[in-house]
Order: sequence, then C-alpha cells, then structure tokens
Amino acid sequence: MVFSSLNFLFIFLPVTLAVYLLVPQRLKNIVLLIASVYFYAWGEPVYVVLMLLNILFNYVAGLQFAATKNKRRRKKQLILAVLVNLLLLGFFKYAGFLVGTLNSLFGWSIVWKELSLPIGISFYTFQALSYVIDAYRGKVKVQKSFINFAVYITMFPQLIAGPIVTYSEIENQLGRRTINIAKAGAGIERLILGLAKKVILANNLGLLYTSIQASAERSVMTTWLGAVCLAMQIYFDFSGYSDMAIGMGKMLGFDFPENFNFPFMADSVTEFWRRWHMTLSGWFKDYVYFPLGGSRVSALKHIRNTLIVWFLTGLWHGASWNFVMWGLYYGVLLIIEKYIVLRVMKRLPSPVQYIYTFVVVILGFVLFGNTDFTEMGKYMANMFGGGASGFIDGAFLYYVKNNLILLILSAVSCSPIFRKLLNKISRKNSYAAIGICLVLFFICVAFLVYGSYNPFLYFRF
Amino acid sequence: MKKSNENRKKFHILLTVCLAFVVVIFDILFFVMPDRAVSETENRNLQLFPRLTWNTVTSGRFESQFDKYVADQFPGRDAWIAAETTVQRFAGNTLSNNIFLGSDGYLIKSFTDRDNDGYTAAVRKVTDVSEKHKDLRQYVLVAPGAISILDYRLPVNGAAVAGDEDRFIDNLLRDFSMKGLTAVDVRQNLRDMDASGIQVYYRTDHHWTTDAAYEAYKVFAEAAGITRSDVEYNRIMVTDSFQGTLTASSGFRTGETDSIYVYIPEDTGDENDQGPGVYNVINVDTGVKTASMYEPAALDTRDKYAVFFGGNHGELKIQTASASFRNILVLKDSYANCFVPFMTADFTNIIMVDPRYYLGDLDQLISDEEITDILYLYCTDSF
Amino acid sequence: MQKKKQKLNIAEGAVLLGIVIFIICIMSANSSADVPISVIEQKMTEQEGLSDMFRQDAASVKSVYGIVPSEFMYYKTDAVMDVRELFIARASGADEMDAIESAAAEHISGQIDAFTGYGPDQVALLEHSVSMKKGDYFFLAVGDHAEQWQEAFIKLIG
Repeated sequence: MVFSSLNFLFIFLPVTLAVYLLVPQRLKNIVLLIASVYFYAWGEPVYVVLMLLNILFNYVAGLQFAATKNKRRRKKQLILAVLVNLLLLGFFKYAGFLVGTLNSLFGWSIVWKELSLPIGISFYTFQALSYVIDAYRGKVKVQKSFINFAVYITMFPQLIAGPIVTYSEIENQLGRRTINIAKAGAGIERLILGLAKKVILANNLGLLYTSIQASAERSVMTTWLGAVCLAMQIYFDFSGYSDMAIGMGKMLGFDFPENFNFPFMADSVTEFWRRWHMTLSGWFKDYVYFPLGGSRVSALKHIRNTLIVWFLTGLWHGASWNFVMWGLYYGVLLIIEKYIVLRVMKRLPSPVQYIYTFVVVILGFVLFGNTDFTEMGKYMANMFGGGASGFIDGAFLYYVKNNLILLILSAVSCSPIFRKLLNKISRKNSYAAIGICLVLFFICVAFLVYGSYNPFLYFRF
Repeated sequence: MKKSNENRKKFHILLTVCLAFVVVIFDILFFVMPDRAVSETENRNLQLFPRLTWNTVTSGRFESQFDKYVADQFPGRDAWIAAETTVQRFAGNTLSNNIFLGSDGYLIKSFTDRDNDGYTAAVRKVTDVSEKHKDLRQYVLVAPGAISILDYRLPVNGAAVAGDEDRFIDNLLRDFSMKGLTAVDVRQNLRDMDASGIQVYYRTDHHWTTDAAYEAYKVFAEAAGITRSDVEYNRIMVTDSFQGTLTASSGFRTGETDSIYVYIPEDTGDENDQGPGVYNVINVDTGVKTASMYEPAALDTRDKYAVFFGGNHGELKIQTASASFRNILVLKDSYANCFVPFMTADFTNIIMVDPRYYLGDLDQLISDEEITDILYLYCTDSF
Repeated sequence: MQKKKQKLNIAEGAVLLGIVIFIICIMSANSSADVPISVIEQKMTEQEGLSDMFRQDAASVKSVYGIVPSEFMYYKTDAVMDVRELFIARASGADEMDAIESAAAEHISGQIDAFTGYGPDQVALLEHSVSMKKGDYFFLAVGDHAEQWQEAFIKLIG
C-alpha cells in the first residue's frame, strides 16, 4: 500500500488509528502489528511470509544472545545472524545483478530467472541488523516479547520507505509511549506537509523531468532544468515520505528520528551528507564505519574505510552500477573535501560555496537517476554543451513559464521557510493555520483523485 | 510565549478534530453513495469492486484494482477533477497529457517527432499497398492537425516543445511523390480558410471540421482530374453541444462546445433516382445496408463525431448514382468520415477501409471491386 | 538453561528451514511443467466464453503481435470492435520470452490508444487484461473471463 493513495488515507489509516486509540494500552502493540502486517501484505501478498520468517529468525537470534554467556559462541551466533540477513537481502536483491556482472566480466552466460524484489527489504533488513548487532554488543536489552520485536520491524509508517530506525532509538518507546490528541495533531501537520511535497511537488516535477528527458533535442539550459527537476523530485518524494512516516509515528505515539534536514541548503558536500538521508548514513557509521576504525586510523585506512562505506551506500540504493558509481562519486568528493578542499573553501565567498555544492549535487542526481550508462552519458554531455541544440531555446522558456509556480514553490520548499511560516501562523491564529492545512490537504486529494501518475520510487529498496 | 505555545497546542488539537471529521464524512459518503459504472466527463468506465479470489489476492490484482476502485468511486470525483485542473490552470500549466490549451479555448493535440524507424514505418503504411498497384491512379492526402495549421494559437514557445508536423508532412508527401503517387497538399488552403474566419478544427476534438474537409476535397478533386459540376449543398448544423476527445483526455475542462455541420446535397435525386444525394451504404462486416451516410443516433451519445457513418468500420461500400465509372478505394482513418460524403457525385463505387479494423485481403478486394483509384487519407497520428 | 538453549537452537533451525522451503516454493512457482500447446489448447477451449472466438493462424499472430513464437495458440473473434483475445505462447528461450513480453505489452497499449475516447468498454477490458509468464509460457487474455482462463491455465501447467 502506498501512503499517497486514497485507499491508505481514507480507509486503512483512519480505521487503524480508530482501533489503535480505542483499545487499552496492553493491546496497542498487537493491533499495530496486525495492521502493519496487513499493510505490508497488501503490497506483497506472498513476500509477507518472507518478512515474517525474517522477523522470527532475528527474534530467536536475540534470545540466543540472552541465553549464551560464552563469548566465542555469542560471536558465532552474531556472525550467523548477520550472514543470514545479508544473504537474504543479497539473494532477493542482488543475485541477478551479480550474475549479470559475472557474465559480462567473464563472458559466461549463466541464466538467472529474476525474482521480484520484496518491497522494503533493504529497510527492514537494516533495522533487523541494528537490533542483532546492538543486542550482541549489549547496547540494548534483548526483546523477550515477540510482538514487541515484530512491531519494531513492521510498524507501517517506516516499514517501506524509512526512516531507518535503529532498535536502540526506539527500545523504550515499544513499552511506553505518550499518545495524545495534541501529539496526533502535530503528526497530522507533518503528514500533510509530507503529502503535499510528494503529491503536489514531486509528482509534477517528475512529469516535467520525463518530458525533458524524452526530448530528442535539448539546449544546455533545458538539460540543466531537467536535472534540477530530477533532483528535487527525488528529494521531495523521499523526504515527503519520511515526513509522512514521522507524522504517523507521532499519531501512534512514537518519536522517529529525522531523516532530512533541508539538504539543498548545504554549502559543501560534507554538509549535504549531514542533511540527506541521515538515518542511512547514521546506520553505516554505527555498523560499518566505526567498527572498521572510522577516522581514528591512519589516513590511508581512513580513506579505505570511507570508500568501503560509500561503495556500500551506493549499492544499497539499487542493484545497478550507476548507484555504486554514485556512492563512490560522493565518497571520493568527501575525501577530497576533508583533506584538501574544505579549508580553502571555507574562505571563499558563500555564493561560490553554494554554487559548487549545487553543481556537484545535481550531477550526482543525474548519476543516480539513470541506470543506463549511454543515456546518462548523453544527458551529462548535453549539460556541458555536447550534442545540445544551443545554450537556451524556446523549449526552455516554455517549460519555465508553464511550470513557473511549481518551480518557485519547489525552490522555496527546499528551505525551511514554509514550515517556519506555518509554525508562526499557528502560534498567532490557530484557525488560519487549520485553514492552510485543510486547503493543502484538499489540493492533495484533488491531485490523487485525478492522477494516474503517482510513481512509487522505492521499488528498488 | 505561553499564549503562543497554547495556540500551537490548540492548533494541533483542532487539526486532529477537523481531519477526523473530514475523513469520517467522506468515508460515510463513500459507503452510502452507489458505485458508478461509467464517467461521462472522462469518457471511460470506472472500476467497480474487484473480484475477490485466492488467485486475485495472491497475485496482487485485487489490491491494485481496489486502490483504483477507491479513487474511481471517491465521492465527488468529478468535482475533485475539476478542482485539480483549476489548480493546474491557475499555476499556468498549458500542456496536459500531450494536449495544449491554446488561445480562444482551443485544445490542440501535440505532435511527436518520429525517429528513423518510425518514419520508415510511416512510409511503408502506404507503400506496402501502393507498390502493388502502380497500374491504378493513387493519391495520398496527409491531413495536417491543428498543431501546424493553428500554430499561432499555441501558448508562447509551445511549438518548441512539440514536434514538427509540417516537416513530417513535407517529407511524407515528397517521398510518396517519388514513389509515383499523387500527393495532395491541403495545408495552404486550410491556412487560408482559417485566415478568412472559418473554423477549420474543432476546439474540443482533434478532427477537422466538415468545412475544412470540403475544402480539402476540392483540392483532391482537382488533383484527381475531377471537373466539379457544381454540386450544391445545404450546410446543416446537426448539433451544437459536441465535446470531443480532447476535453476528456486533456483534463482541461474548458466548458467549450463545438457545432458539427453536415453538407446535404440539394439535389436529392431526379425521377430516375440519379443525383449526388442518392446512394447505398453497405456495411460489409455486418451486412447491413442503409441509404444514409449519417448515423443520427450518435448525436445523443458522447461521441457525436460518429454521426458520420456511425464511426469507424473495417469495410464500408458506398454505391452511388454517379456515372463516372470510377471505383475508388479509400484507405483511411476517422478524418475521412466527414470527407467521403463529398465524393458521391464523382465516383460510382466508394470502398472505405480502415486498416486497423480490416481483416480481409486488400489485393483481392481491389480486383473484386474493380478499383480504379486509391486514396490514402490519414492524419499524421495514424502514420 | 541447557534445555532453553537447545530449544532456541531447534527454533532457529526450524526458522532457517522455513526460509529455505519458502525460497524453494518461490522458485518453483516461477517454473512450469512440460505441457504441449496442443493439450493446453484442447483444455482451454473447453472454458466458457470462448465459443465465439476462433483459432488464428501464424499470419494473424504476426500481424497483431509482430512476431511469431515457436509454439502458440491464439483465439479471437472476427468482429472488428471486439478486443477479446486469448494468446498463449511457449518461448524457446529467455530472449524469445522477452520479445513476446514486449510485443504483448505494445499490442495492449496500442489497443488502448486506439480505443481511448471511442470505446470505453473496450478500454476497460484491455486495462483489466491478464498477462503473466510462468516457466517458458506466456499468457495473455482480454475478456470478461480473463481471470477464469488464467486460473484454468495455471492449473494446466502446474
């Protein structure tokens, strides 16, 4: 089921919330579990079994840690648990990719019947791993209740598109959390903002990008416009989903970590990655980077650690070489910034810093958005004049004029202005703020009723 | 400070109450209102409650159809769609689903350039047949769309975003001429007609008007060596509430309507039953024989353009009272439907074939019917 | 404590076994038995809703889909405005299967384009068409009984 659908917003969510809020405290987790399994099964009627088996396995693995004192045996259990999780993820997500790569490298022709990818497997596998590893480390207490553990993995707001919530962040909330109407309202505010980002901004930016990408001839400006639209589409789609997840979490009484902090306001690549998909970089830091030694090692080893983490980050995003390239692209840039550029850059005027970051980030998204290398190459070449029909053309002017309001709203929404404005208004006049939220909500409903174009970008995850 | 926090809390509480109220109302409406099977405004069938079986659930079919069901049966669907298009218009959007919102309420379908393979296929659509019948007189009429004739109506710079239909037609006509066909180019005539104030295309549909078809026919007649003995027609309006395909598929609910005219020959036939107004129309697929090229019942449906011949058919045979002894095969799309009625005075037999729906053997047909002329009449979309 | 550890080990083993069984089931669902098209045809034509649909030859398949699979059965009606059809093909390899799949997808979307604005009933039938591949078989059905035909077909090829 997709958050930005009428079925979800008007049937699943209200019914689930109604039952959840009405039942007594001790039954809330089981209600949430049942609803979340239903939610997942709606989109994956067969793979829901896989997810449940995965949960069972990790639950038992946790119990084993609690029952075992012997250090060596615990370590073996950890290795087994991590391996099983990674093998499952690898099998369903990367097997075809591996086979294809081997075939092209060695000229073999192994045939592999592609299995469809279980939705959300990248997210729930990483969450399960965070539990298993932290339980081994003793950072968290082993969860004795199967229901509580299953709720952690499956709870529907973050199951399919994040944020990646580590078990340690939510351990206490599983047992006790505050649920009240004001918190629910804060959640609804967040939900509506996220929904608007997705339905009003992301979807329409996507349509514009698709038209531009499909044109046979483009000018340089048009190509850049397209790349900017792609970048903003991915940002609004992803951060919109995270907003909705955090909002729904609040309605259920949970406080989820933030996932995005206005990344396009960054003035360096390092800063960008402190603001983009923060829970993923956080996860890689805790479970890969620090165990490898992080930055407390020789420069050479630090570079190795960084590249490993970024290779994996890229690979996590999709079973395709362009994603790996995208990860390494940023890995290399971060290394360059850390060791060479940053000191110099901080002395340059602000606009230069922002422009540099902007160009780097936009190019990164072109890498991210094209699985086909020839298409990607053509598009990038266009951006720098190769094969383009001039610097600027009538098509560019048309696209801008036709989508002026959309582009302006999108640009402003990359900053905290709207969120802060709504906050301010709500503090002066709650009725005005309600009006704004309702209008936004109704516009979203109108778009959802009309739209057949509502892409779900996370099928790769 | 305290008041500000209080307000914020009040806002949150009220927001919850309001949203809950809205959702409950819509849910009640959704369950209480009966499901609609058809949407007139969108011109499509709506999803009803999907079939629930083990198979449909495990394959995901039930789920995706159910999602569609909620959207299709959502209370006030038509109003919501109108709201969406209003927002789009307000935001300055003039292109929706490949259709431009032009000046004066004109909806203009965009044109997509063909790549090399697409162009070759377009040429072959005609030459696959024409090469086998070089002994006959063959004509090609590529009907332009509003995108080239009414290009000045496009939003500013809109043409930069559309393909080049004019050049496509230039290329086609040139290539067909080289293959020995007579190319009929009606573009300048249509532009002149538009300049003189006559409506050449419908505002809400991609077809040309009957007036434009008549003008195109005159150009064709000259190329076909027909000396038009002046056939007098009565120009009759059959409807003024026509809303064509572009309204439904673009989402621009402009509220515009068009009028459809038909040209009925004044000369309804002399005592020997001769005259351009006398003919038989045989629908070869169904075997039904009528004396009219028009289907008035279509005027009560949404697809009013189907008043011409009742729409598209695989094969229609028209036997006229003309003494020209020319039998013409018209390989066509729907643009020919309002064009062919002008041919009754000049061809003894007119066979209309729409290749999309024709299942027979064209070569056999051509020899059986003793065809003397072939006219290929398509709009650029059909290539 | 020992007993508990033992129980946990058994539980872990059981879950792992469950996962392996699940994977095996998924992989076998992707495969199919070896049933010749002629047998399939015989059984499928017994299904309801096919009485006014006629067997088509290779030329017909070529003109509609653009390719002719090595083994196929193709049924449709003679009426021009009737979009109902039943097409089952057996591909000789992954490449042929890809070609069949994309030809079928193009055919359906071409049909939808042709009928949009003219035939909402036809468009509805086309949008609800059933297409699937299992093993080396490809199945496409357009019609009110499309789902029933699919169920019968799945039973046939296991």
